This record gives sequence, structure tokens and C-alpha cells, in this order.
Amino acid sequence: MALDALSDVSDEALLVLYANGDQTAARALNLRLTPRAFGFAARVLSDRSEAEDVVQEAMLRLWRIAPDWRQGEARISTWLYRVVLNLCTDRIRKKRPAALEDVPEPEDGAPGALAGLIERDRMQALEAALERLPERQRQAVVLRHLEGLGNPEIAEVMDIGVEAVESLIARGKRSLTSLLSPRRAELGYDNEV
Amino acid sequence: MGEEELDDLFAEARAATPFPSAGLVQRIASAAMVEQAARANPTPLRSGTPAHGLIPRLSGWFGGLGVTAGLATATLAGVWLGAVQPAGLSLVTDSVTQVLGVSAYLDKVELIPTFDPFLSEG
Repeated sequence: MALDALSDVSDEALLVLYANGDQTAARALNLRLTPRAFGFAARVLSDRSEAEDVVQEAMLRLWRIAPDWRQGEARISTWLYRVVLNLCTDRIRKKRPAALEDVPEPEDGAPGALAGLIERDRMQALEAALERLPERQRQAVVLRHLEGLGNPEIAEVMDIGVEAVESLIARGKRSLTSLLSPRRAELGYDNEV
Repeated sequence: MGEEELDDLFAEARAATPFPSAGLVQRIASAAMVEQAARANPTPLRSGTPAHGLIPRLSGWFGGLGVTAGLATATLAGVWLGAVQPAGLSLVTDSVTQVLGVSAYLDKVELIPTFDPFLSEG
């Protein structure tokens, strides 16, 4: 089956096709799920190399569970986020949180390059601020505001209630605001108001 | 920093999502093919070393130790039934016929009579 023909096929149906020996289905699932899983892992871990290891392991588990996948019980993306989250949690507990002050100061440059530098600095500052949040708050904020998941799905991924998700996100955003406020002008927000 | 600015920052971050390397995508694709092939050609669980002795050889011929044990049991049961007089059965039939008041014994009934009486001239 051609890869293009599978664009409208659901993840669950693709996994069934893969379990039945369809190689194109595996390629389609890989291209569809790996970027999402990697983006999430990279943001949670703040480390591309570790994120690659986590995603490779999570996808391997997906291939192995394919023949036993029970359709209708859970969405594959939710299952994958959950596996990635658990693998990330194991690694995070071995890591030391980086300080916001560790983020490099903005470099001097030509005015034309200033916007790009500011954007890069904003991303670095956000990344560092996320890293300083408590583990569960960071995971909830990343899933909600960077991965775009709804609160019920986040609750399923994190295995907690929806109210707990809302609370984690609210506290996480408050913490982010207070962490980033001292660098507001430096990150170019004063110029845009 | 206000909530609106934080939301703008999230939007910028969403647009700059980290993308996996081609190497990672390739490794995951290869793993998928390996898993698929492993399921299509499952590795035999038995050891490749040849077995010695009568029982392992018989098990090999008949398709497993369980099948061999079943065949041996059935053979022994057949021999026993053929060699031993089924006295227990006559005890049961005797008790039944006595209760029913039947005087004839089943072992005295001629189920396949000879033709001799019909051939005699009279």
C-alpha cells in the first residue's frame, strides 16, 4: 500500500496493518508518531540525545505490543505519550536541574540579527525555566501548552484526575511567569508592548 | 511577564518543535522491520543439539514427550484389556439379571446361530 494512501488511516488501524505484516504501515506510523514523541521527550528532558534513546525505546515497545493491541481501549498517541513520560521520569530523577542563570546571556550582534537572537534566547529561557519547575508541573505544562493535548488526555497520560491536571498547569504557569519576569526586558518583551 | 506574553512564548515554542534526526527515524524503522520479521519467522524454542536416549528419540518421532506418553499409556491399556479376564463385568451383569428376574445369561445366548438345524431333513 502506498504511503500517501495511509494519510487518512487512523493510528490504530495502521498498527493492526503493521501487526499483519504491512511494512508501509510501519513507515507511516513511524513518520507520524516519532516526531511527536521526540518533541515531547526533548522538551521534558532538555536533552536531544537522551530524548532519542527514550523515543527509540518507546517505539520499540509499540512494535512489540502491536499484535496484542486492543482496539478501542486507548489511543495510541496517548499510550505513547505515557510510555515516553515514564521513561523520561526515570531519567529526570538522575539529572540535576539547571539554573536559569546558566542560560547564556544574549550575544552582541548586528541589529538585523537581533530578532533571531532574541527568539533563540526566549526559547532557551523557556527551556531553562521549564527545567526548574517541579517534575509533574513541567510535564503537565509541556503536554498542555507545547504538545497541545486536552486536559482529559493529559489526565490519562499522567494517570491523575483532570482537576489535578488543571492545578498542575496553573501552578506551573505561575512559576514560569515569576521565573521569566526578571528577564522580560532582556528577552525583548518591553520593545513589543 | 504576564500570562499573555507567556502564551506568546508557548506559541513560539510550538513553532520551533525539536525534530528527530534522520538516524533516529531510520533506527526505529529498522526495529519495526526486525520485530515484524521475528513474528513472521518465530525462533524454535527447542535446542539445536541432538538428543540422546530412547525417550528423547521417541519424543522426536512422535512430536513431543506428551504425545509419546499418551501413546504409551494407550498401548498399555489395550494390552491389559486384551489379556485380563473382565471378571468385574460379569459380576455387574449377574446382579442386574438377578434383580430383573432374568434367568438366561447373556453369555449363553447364541447371537449367531448355526444353520445345522435348518439343513437336517425331517
